[in-house]
Amino acid sequence: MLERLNHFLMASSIPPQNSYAGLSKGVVSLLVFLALWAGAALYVQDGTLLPSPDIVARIFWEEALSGEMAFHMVATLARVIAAFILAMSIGSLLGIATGRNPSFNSWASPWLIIFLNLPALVVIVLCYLWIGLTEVAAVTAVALNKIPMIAVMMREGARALDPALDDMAQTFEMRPLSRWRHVIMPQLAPHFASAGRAGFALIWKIVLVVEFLGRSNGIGFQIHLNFQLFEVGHILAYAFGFIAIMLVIEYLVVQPWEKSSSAWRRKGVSG
Amino acid sequence: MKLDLIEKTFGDTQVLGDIYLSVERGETVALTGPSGVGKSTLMRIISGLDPVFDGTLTGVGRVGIVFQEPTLLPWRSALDNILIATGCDKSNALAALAQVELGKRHAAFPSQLSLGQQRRVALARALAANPDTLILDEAFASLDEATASRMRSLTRGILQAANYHTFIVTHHLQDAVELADRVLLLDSSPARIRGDYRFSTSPHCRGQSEELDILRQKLQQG
Repeated sequence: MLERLNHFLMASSIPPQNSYAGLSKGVVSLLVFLALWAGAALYVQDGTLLPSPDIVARIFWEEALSGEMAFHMVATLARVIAAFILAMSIGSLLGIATGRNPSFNSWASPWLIIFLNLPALVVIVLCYLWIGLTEVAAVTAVALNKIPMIAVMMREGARALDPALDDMAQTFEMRPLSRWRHVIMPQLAPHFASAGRAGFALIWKIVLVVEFLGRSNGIGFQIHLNFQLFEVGHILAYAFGFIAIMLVIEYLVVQPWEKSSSAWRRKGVSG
Repeated sequence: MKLDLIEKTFGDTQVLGDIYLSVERGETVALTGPSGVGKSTLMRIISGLDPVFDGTLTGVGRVGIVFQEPTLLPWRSALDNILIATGCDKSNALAALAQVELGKRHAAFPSQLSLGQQRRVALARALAANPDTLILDEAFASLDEATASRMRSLTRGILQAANYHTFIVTHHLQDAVELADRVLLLDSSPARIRGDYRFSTSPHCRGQSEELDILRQKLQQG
C-alpha cells in the first residue's frame, strides 16, 4: 500500500528506491509545496489574488458538496475519454500503416509533419469555426491535435517489428488473426502503452483549452467563468480537483496498463 | 520436390544462377558453400518466403523451418510457441518437445533457455508442423562444439525416422557428414551448384572422419 501511495505521490518514471524513503520524500516534498504556497499567500495578503491552501480546500469542498464539481468533472472526463479513444484509434491505425508500408509513409509523412507543427489553438479555433460550437467540434479538435503524435509513436513501433518473426509466421502459415494477436500486437504493446500514456497526459490539458474557448460546461468552462469573475480560489480548486482525478486515472489505469504490456519480460526473466 | 531455377536477382544483381534440384522424400540434402554465396536466399525460395524468382518450384508442401536465430515469441512459453505457430494440438506439441528432450521445460520462456535449448524448441516447432519439407538454416551455428554435437546427434535420430525432404544449410562440412545423404556445394557468382556428392552409407553408420576427408576431396574437385 505504501509503495502504491509512493508511486501516486511521485507520479513519475523515477525508478523506485526504498519504498519508505521514497514515500517520506514525496510527503515532505508536498508539504514543502503547501508551506511555500501558504507563505506566499501570507506575504501577498490578498485572498482574491492568491488564496491560501485552506481557503482553496474549503472552496473545493463546497463545490464538491453542491454537486457542481462532479458535474463539470464528468463533462470534462467524457470529452477526455472520447477524444482519447478517437485519437488512439486513428493515430494507431495511421502509425501502423505508415510503419509497415514505406510507400504510404512517403505520402502520409508530409501531412504528419504539418499537423505535428500546427499549434493546438489553431486547430481548436478552426474546428469551432468550421464545425460550430458543438461537442463534435470540441472532441474532434482535441483528437486532431493528438493523432499525429500517436501516429508517429506507433509508426516507430511498427518499423521496429522483427522481420524474422514475420518470416516465421509466414512459413508456418499462421492465420492473420493469430498473427496479429500473437506476433504483432505483443511487439506493438509497449509502443501502444507509451503512446496512450503520452496522449492521455496531453489530451486532458487540451480539453480544458477547448472548454475554455467554446463549451458551456466542464472544468475549462469553470476556469473561464471564474477568470472573468476574478475568482482565483475557484480556479485553483477546480484545477487541483481535476489534476487529482487525472493522477488517480494515471495511477489506476494508465500505469498498470503500461506495466501489463511488458509483463512477459519480467515473467520471462524471473518466472 | 523439384526446383528448376533459372535465376534470382535483387535489382540488377543476379544472386543465383541456373540451379536444378530434385529431392526425394526421406532424403536429407546438405547445402554448403562460402558465407554470402546465396544459400539462405535459395532456402527462402524453397520455403516460399521469397516467391519472386525466375523458375518453377513444385512438391514442397508444408514447410517446417529452423531459422539461423531461434525466432521464438519471447512473450510465450516453449509450449505456446509451438501451439501458436503450428496450430497443432497440445499432445503433439508436448511430443515434439519430448523428441528434442525438452519435455520438462515446456513452461519455460525463451529467455529462460540457453541458445541450444531455444534451437531445440525451434526444431520441435518445425517437427510439430508435420512438414513435408524441413529446412534447418544454419541451425547449429554459434553453439559450442559440445552443444552442437549433441544437437546434431539429436537431429540425426529424428531424421532417421522422418519422411520429409530435408535441407540443411551449413558451411560446416561436419554437419553434412553427420546428417546428410547428399551434399551440394554452392559456389561462384551468381551462385550455381558446383559439387553434388552422394554418400554411400546412411549417416548413423558412417565413419565420419574418413567420409569428411573424402567429402573435402570430392568438393574440392567439384
